[in-house]
Amino acid sequence: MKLDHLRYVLAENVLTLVAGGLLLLFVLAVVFGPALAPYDPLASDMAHALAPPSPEHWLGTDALGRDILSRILVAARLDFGIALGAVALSFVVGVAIGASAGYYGGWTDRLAIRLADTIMAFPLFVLAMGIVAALGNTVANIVYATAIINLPFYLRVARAEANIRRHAGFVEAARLAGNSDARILAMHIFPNILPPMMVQISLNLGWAILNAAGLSFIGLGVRPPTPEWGIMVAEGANHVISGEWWVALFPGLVLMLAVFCFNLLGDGLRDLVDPRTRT
Amino acid sequence: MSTYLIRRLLYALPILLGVNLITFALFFVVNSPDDMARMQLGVKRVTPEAIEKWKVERGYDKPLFWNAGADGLARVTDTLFVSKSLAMFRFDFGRADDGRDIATEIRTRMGPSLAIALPTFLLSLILTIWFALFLVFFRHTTLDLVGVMLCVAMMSVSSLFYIIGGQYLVSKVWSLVPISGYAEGLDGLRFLVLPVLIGVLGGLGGGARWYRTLFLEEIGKDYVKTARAKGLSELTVLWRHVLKNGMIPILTGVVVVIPTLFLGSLLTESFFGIPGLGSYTIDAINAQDFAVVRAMVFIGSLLYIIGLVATDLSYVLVDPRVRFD
Repeated sequence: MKLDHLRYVLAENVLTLVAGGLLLLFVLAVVFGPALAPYDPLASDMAHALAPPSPEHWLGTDALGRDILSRILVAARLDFGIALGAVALSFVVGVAIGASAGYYGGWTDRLAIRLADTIMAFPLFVLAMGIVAALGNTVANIVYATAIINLPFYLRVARAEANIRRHAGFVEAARLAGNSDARILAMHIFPNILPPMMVQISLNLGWAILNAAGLSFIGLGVRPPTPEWGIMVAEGANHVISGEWWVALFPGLVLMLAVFCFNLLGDGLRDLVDPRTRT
Repeated sequence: MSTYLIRRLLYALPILLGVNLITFALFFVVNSPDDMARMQLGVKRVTPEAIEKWKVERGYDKPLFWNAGADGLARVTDTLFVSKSLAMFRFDFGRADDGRDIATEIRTRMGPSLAIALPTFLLSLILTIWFALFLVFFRHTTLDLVGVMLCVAMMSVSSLFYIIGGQYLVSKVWSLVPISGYAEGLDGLRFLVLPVLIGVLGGLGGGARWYRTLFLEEIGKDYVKTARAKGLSELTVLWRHVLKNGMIPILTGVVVVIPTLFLGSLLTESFFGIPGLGSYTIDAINAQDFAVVRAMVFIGSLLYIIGLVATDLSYVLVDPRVRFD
């Protein structure tokens, strides 16, 4: 039944299908990236530095003669890892705090809302910068920073969705049947607030990738020589003006495709979950 | 209205205190002054005496929250939290590592930041609304679909990519404007064109797509049918009726950013060499100058909260149904 509906919606929505295909390509790169890469992503070859795209180096080489295609393929794992880790973390923490706040109400609720407001009061990017600048730029800290920035969105959505259901018939029924609060939250409320959260997750994944790249641009992200799409664009920026456009263009394009893919998936998921706002 | 305003400001105070406390925790507890000194002095020159000297020079040699060695009220006030963190409420930001007064520096750098941010803001607001109305006018046609796809594609491009692409095309290939730089007065106008254009372009996709959804929601309502039934043209309906009502949700997103325009844009400023607050922040981060970073985080959240209060006030101005109660 579910699958039929999915097929029906996908047939109506070719773009989501395209996005799904793109995602599959990225997943392949994440899983097999290092095996597919034709060269060592860290091996410099000064004799072939800044070589334009050619049959040997499909996407050219960078200032140290490293193969750009190999670096892009290997970087997929890191970029997707940061995005997934950050979104998963803010989803779990945000839903736990938000759903309990909405379910219990009272001072738990007020405290949670105040927490979300305080995080929102930081300029988003500045908060990420502050965290990474204070704690040092390791991959784990970038994940934490991105997760904290996203936390208020999940917290608010989960709180609102749990709040309107706290006195719903099925919740009262579960309570009368003797279920504990924790069980009601996990088994009865959580499955109901999951669909609206899925849309947020997909849109957030794209945003998290852009955010990680943005941190790399200003030197707060992953450190060179680690291959990462944001760093590759930032390193390529110096060469664009002197005419070596391929160094920045290809990682930039891949970065854009990844975000594009998640944005389209988010739109498709929204159509699936909430036909009312179909565009 | 004044009671309402006072209540809002009182609500903002604990949030600002929370921001202040979190910033303090990040920069003094998690990353202690000893760590900062070690980072600044470099591995080779680190001796306990050097660290102590570095801390005394900057006034970092006090206890965090409780000064047991002092008398009376000074036990609370002669601490890092009061002298370094709470002092920011008096706009006392201390000195940067190069010895300059941070508050003075912020005042002089506001101008260049605003010179970029204000035109970007106004131009992008007008263009985004115009483009969204254009898509709504051609709704449910191929043109609309292509437009929405274009929006999604545009919002997927990272801002640095726009900057690099703009510098390459407009400055290098067509040599229309200088690649980067800044000057005061009318002569400086040529430096502003490209950063402003790139800022507008970067925000257009996401904004237009959002506004389009807002306008489409309005267009199904009864007053729109009434307007059409009166025989008004579709364009008049869009401009005079849909736009006015659609402006209410748009204001939520727009008014809140107006105060933060002072902060400028981090990436744009540093890549175009504009001496504003954005590049100031980035330089401070790269130099590990935490006094400046702390000050910028505090000012950023202060401006955001001012924006939130201004948003509430603006509803009353545009929507006669909303009252302060």
